Amino acid sequence: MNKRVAGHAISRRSTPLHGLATPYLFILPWVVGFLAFTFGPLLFSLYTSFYDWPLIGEPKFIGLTNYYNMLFDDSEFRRSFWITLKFTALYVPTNMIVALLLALLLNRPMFASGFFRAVFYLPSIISGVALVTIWSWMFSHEYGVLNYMLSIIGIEPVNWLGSPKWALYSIVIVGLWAVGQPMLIFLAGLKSIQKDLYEAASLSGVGRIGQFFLITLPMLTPVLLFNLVNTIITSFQQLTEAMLLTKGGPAKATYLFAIYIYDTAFKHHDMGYASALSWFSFLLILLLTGVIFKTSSLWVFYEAEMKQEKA
Amino acid sequence: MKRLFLSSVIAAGFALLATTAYADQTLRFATWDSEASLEIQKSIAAKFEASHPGVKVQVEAYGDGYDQKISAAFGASNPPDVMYMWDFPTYQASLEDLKPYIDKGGVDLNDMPPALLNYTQVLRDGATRIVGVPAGFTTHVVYYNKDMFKAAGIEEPKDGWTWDDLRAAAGKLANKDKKIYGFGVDGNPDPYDFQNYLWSNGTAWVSPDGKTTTGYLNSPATKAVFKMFVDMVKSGDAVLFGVGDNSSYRELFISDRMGMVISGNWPKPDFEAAKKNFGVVTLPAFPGKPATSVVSISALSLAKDSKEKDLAWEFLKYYASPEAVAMRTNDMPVLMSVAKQQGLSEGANTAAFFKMMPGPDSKNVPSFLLNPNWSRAQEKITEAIQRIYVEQYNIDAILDEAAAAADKELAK
Repeated sequence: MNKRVAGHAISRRSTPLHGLATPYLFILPWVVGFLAFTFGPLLFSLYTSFYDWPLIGEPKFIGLTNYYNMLFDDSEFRRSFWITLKFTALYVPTNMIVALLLALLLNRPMFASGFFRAVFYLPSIISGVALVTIWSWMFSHEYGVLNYMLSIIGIEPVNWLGSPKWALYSIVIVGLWAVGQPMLIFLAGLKSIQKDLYEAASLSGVGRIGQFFLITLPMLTPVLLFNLVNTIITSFQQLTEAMLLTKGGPAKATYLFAIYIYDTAFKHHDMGYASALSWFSFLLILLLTGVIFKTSSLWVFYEAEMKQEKA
Repeated sequence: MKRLFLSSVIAAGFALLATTAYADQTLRFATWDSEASLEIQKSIAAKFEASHPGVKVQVEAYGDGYDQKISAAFGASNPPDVMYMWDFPTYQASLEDLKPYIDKGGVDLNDMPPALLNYTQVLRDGATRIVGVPAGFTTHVVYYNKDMFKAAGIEEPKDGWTWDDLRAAAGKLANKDKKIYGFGVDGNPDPYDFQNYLWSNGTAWVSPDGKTTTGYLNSPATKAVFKMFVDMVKSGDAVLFGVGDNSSYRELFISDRMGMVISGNWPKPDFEAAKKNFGVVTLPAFPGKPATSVVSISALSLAKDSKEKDLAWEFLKYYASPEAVAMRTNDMPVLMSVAKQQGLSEGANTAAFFKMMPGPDSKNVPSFLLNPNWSRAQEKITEAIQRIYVEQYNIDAILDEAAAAADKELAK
């Protein structure tokens, strides 16, 4: 009844065409922005990837040569890709686990939980450059607070950014500082799990750890999926921290794929090749995301589905 | 009488300018300067505006991201009219050949050190093009802390000294327990600057034809240079800076923890501002070979696509005039007459820069001028240098590997 009244009210004020166009008008600014600043450049970069495109001088069509060179004749490509894989293997699990643990802690009723939520989210809103500056001080070999703390418990100072062995770990650590985003999403997921599930479990004598694995984790899987996909994408595109902290060094130990793309474009002025590299990265992320979504039916549980099955 | 003459000349000049159509023209001038040195650029631009009524010089300060921004501007066919330039091989095709302008007079190239002019000339299609007018330069010198030398009771270095002298002094200045070092080794040097040591030891990164690094980048002379620096770091006489950490050589020098360091004129204003008691001396020599420095040069270039070429050339002319050169106290003067007038070519802490200037017959050509693929090959060298200083052994193998990798890039 209510619905009919509302619909009537709208149609009285506007023509049918106007009514149809209204939602599109609302999203128009975003669509225009997306077409002009994301989709347009995206297509253009696909076009340039088939060219030898120096910044200065005439572009030359070379077909798939860029892609061929990339896959078969570029050791830098292979190495930076390998480093990115290593980074992802370190960054994604640690990021997810830390975010989940923090969310679990903050989900408990406790003193000033709102304050702590804000505190843990805060690093996510600090700009990347400021964050990196703070960390470069903390990582300092001689004067850094990290090495100072290690010295208190009798551990030799670590050359965080100066040794190829440690530099990649250091960048993972910096990345962990910005777990606020996934943490908040986990927290929202935790809040939406119905309390009666836990009550029922307690009554059946399931302990807290059992409850976590039997209720919390399965119920969180949709959120987990979202965070996983997001974190993997962030990880493959990681640029700022490595670029500013180590410039890809020492001795290329943190030379991530995104830095290689950046250098190819803006240091070596090879726009065509940089575009081909970008498209490789784009397709790979697309593929990974696709695989995760495809396999998600095996491990992601949606509440609605479960209810249907029961019925 | 003299004054009357002058003012009539000025009046005539203004009358002439009035007839030249400069009404409401804007000239874009891009620089990498910031802070104090940017203010100098702005005051030069203001002076030019004052003598050219109706002209607005838009100073575009790109700062640290200069190379990226200028390449993007050229890529988008929207370059500034006049710009600071150092990377001539990359941009030369987009830069105006200034030879016809210079031939008409107005810029006194004879008053500039010939070594500077070598950099701004490129050979293209059998003809020499001049793609920039030198705007500033620096050679490389040794800065030393006079107080530390006095405290250690050793004589201050003199021009014509050797690396053995430097090492001996570094050993006496260093105090391992107090983390005080005699010398600073740059762990992440610009390979361009590193040519100082290669040239001084009779080698280079790449063959004179620019085709191969094998036998140069991994020559015994190159290996010896690296071994010397690594030995100094290992012995504790020298501190390694520029790797990972954020302690800069400027801080180390100013805080009396490093007695000597090699650089261009860049840290000099900082050392002076910190009221350090320091001296400047020419680079030390390897036995039997002349100490040689690279010249880090900047020039002003004119974009080929500029729509204000005549006005841009007027600006360039003014920029190279004694008046404007003298205003640029942040840089070494490119006019010998100005250097002499300001007493710089004889000054205690400035003479060394002029002494290190290569003569007109210098055979050393920076590697980036020799091969269009140099920037990619240089990546391999940068990596090798970092590895050498981080690992501190296997120097020969690292350089051999780097030469093979760099040659592959050069051949592409």
